[in-house]
Amino acid sequence: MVEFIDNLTQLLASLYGCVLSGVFYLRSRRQPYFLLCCFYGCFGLGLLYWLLYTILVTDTPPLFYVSDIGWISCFLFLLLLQNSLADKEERTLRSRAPWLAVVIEIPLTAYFISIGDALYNLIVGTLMAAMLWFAIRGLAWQSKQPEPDCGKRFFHFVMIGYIVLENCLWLSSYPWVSDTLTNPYFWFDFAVTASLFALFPAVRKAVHT
Amino acid sequence: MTYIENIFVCIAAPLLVAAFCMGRKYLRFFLLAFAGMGACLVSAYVNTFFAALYGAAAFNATVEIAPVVEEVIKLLPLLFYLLVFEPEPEKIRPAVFTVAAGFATFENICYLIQHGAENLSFLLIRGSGTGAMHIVCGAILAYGLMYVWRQGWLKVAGTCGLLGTAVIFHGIYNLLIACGGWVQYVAYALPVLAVALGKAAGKLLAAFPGQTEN
Repeated sequence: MVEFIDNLTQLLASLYGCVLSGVFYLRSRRQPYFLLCCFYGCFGLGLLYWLLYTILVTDTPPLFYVSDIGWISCFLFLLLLQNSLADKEERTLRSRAPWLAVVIEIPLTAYFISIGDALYNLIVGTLMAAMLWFAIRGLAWQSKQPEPDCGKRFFHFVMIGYIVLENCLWLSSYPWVSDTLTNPYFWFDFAVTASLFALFPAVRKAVHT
Repeated sequence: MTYIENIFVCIAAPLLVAAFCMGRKYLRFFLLAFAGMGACLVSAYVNTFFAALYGAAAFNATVEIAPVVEEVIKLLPLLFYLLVFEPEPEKIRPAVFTVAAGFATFENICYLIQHGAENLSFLLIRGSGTGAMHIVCGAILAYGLMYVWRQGWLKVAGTCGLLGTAVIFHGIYNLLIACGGWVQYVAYALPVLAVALGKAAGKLLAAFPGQTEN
């Protein structure tokens, strides 16, 4: 029951984001809104598939998770969104700080590969490292500016929050098996839902500043 | 056993003759329709191969293997068209829809041959639903490709993302169909509703004039 409520709230959050970013794209024709709409749409579709499968079949898919393809796609769109919001000079920034993303993601990916599907975890690990790289590079770039862009800084913080929460969610999904609120997995998933809600205002601030 | 390649030959032969008679202007339409039907033929073989490889039951093959295989193979002739002929963005949409319609038509014909054509009302619902589903998956790719194909850095990642979106939509449709009962009618209604919503969104898009393109 908790899992159902958790998935349903996340589905509603992605629907809210998809509709709002779609409307904002129609009004402004700005590329970040298009990519954000694609991100929310893919995330929501992946979740809908998962929710339907768990309700109708009441088991996990035996071969592979089709939802995973939707989630890989949504991470791709998020990466493109980060790239579209980066300044031209920011893309050429030389700094050691973004390497932190690689340092964090390599052991996590190795751990996930050791207990799960190798190809899927490798793709997701690479995408997560790239997203974290872009977010840290963005923060490093903003800190070097005489007048930092608050909107973009907020966007990078939200992105880092989202990536950290996703990793915590995956880490907590393996050792604990419980369908009650004592399982930290659900709390991390509720926090991911909150970060999904925060992503739209963050992109809006980044676009408008 | 269904001799699917024989069916393909029988359908393609009169269309091929018509294509030669109608001249170069309509050749692209016919070739793209053949590509769609050919993609359906190939995906039937590839689906069977992967189902045998993983020892998958019919339900799992329909729900997990078919959406991925069919959408990937349906994209291949389009990628060839986009990469080799480099069409204008406005020519991408009809190409994608023609391939999708060719695919859906051939799939429906194969379904009729396997399951018979006695129940017209059910076949009408099923045919509309499956046709609409392939068109919606085509629309996701068409409108997305028209956008991402204009920008170099967006091409590869954007195409992969769009393919994933089409796969997941196809997967939801197949999952609902495979469950049977009243749920399958939800599946048939889903793409039809998506087409209606898409048309409404298109009108909204026309109502909001573009201001800036970033």
